[in-house]
Amino acid sequence: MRHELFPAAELAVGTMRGASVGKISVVVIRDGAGNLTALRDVCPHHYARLSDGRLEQMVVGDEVGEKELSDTYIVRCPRHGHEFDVATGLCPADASHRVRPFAVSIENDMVVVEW
Amino acid sequence: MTDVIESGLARTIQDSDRSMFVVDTDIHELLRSHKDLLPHLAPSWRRHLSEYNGPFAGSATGVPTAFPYSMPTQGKANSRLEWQDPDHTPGTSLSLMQKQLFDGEGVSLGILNGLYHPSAVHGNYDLMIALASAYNDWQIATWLDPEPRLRGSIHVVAHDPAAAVREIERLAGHPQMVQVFLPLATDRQYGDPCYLPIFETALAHGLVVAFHHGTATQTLLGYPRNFIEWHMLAAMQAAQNQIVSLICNGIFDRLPELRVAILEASVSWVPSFFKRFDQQYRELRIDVPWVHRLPTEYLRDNIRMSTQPLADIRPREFLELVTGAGLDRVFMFSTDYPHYDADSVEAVLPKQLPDEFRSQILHQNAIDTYPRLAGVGR
Repeated sequence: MRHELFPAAELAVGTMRGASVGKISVVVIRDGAGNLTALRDVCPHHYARLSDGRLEQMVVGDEVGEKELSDTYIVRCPRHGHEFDVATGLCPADASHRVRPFAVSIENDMVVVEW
Repeated sequence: MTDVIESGLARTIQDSDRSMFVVDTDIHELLRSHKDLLPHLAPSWRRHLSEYNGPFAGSATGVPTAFPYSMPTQGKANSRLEWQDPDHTPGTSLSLMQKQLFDGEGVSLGILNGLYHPSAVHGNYDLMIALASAYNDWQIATWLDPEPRLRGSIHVVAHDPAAAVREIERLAGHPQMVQVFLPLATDRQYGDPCYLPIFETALAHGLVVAFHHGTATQTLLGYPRNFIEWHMLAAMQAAQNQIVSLICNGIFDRLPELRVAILEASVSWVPSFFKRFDQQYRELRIDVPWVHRLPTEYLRDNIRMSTQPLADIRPREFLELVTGAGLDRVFMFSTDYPHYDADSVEAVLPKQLPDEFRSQILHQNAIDTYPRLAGVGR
């Protein structure tokens, strides 16, 4: 089922925005590279809204002491800082910890999610 | 090397009931006196023990530490009362160990960890390096050579990793050496990259790295007023600290095949501790991005813990705790011979526990952990 959320022009690159479809909360993300993704807007840990958190490039490092910004974007929960890949919903620290991703697109200049 | 190991094991296997093959991962052999080391000490260092007044004067058989307690245990020298012998301090006699541990307790094969920690001394490192070598050679001559059911630890001085590497390489060819021994606490945490050469060398030779507390191990707030406080806290706290340090500083990401054995640090706290550690990693992965897995996964793959002291938890609870958390490969049986709180096989794991669990704890987990024990018990 398709759900029209808000005008795409209201979502700048590098920002995210929460929306609701009935009782389902959705966070729509346009990451720093301009990619559009959407996740369930509830952290599975303590149920905070991820759209109240931060959109960041994921910090990675192969060698001890190395911290670099990767091309992967994550949302960080506003409470305890759990991270979720904006594209997959997976927590990079724990693959069993995830939020549901939704299909999202722009149709007629509107953001549309589908499930 | 293989021939020597297998010939040594032949007697072990014949003498043991296969279904009850028991590997004891924490046995303490003791010096009768520092002077036991003299024949194994380089001549240039002998006077430091035999003539010069210093911290080694007196009858103490460990390295000098600030340990302030007399231990109010039933047996002398912190030992089990029934293992007292008028002619020997428990732990100093191979014949007594054979009688009490192998015959009496039903242990089939055991790993010596000593109580002599040259790494616990801060300063005088060249003497400590010489003493570590002498101790290793004494261990081989006194215990390993005459008893094929024993396996040994290579003691090194952690403060000087280059010297530690040389000592490991000097003795790695000995067929009964199965691990490198480090005290549970030194002046730096073991995730510090300065220790990496020790871990790399151990791994290159198929050796486990074992950690065990000693009298130099303090609680996080120092030496408390009473022995019971120290005995309750010191080993557990230091173990927790080192586990966090090893994982957070990427030791197991660099060396995924490395196995470490945490000995005598108690058991019941482990699942809840790792539950919290996993949670911290979910929240703060960003702080250590070179760590790529949940802490519990490193526990399952890289960290092993000896069972003694298991007195703080009922056997059925232990089973539920361990299997419920998926940690059934983590724990390895140990007695802590000859100490007062040593565990016995039957008391720790009564017969009603499932056979698979019994065999894992009593021997299989140790055999799977120590590359040099491969094939034991078959």
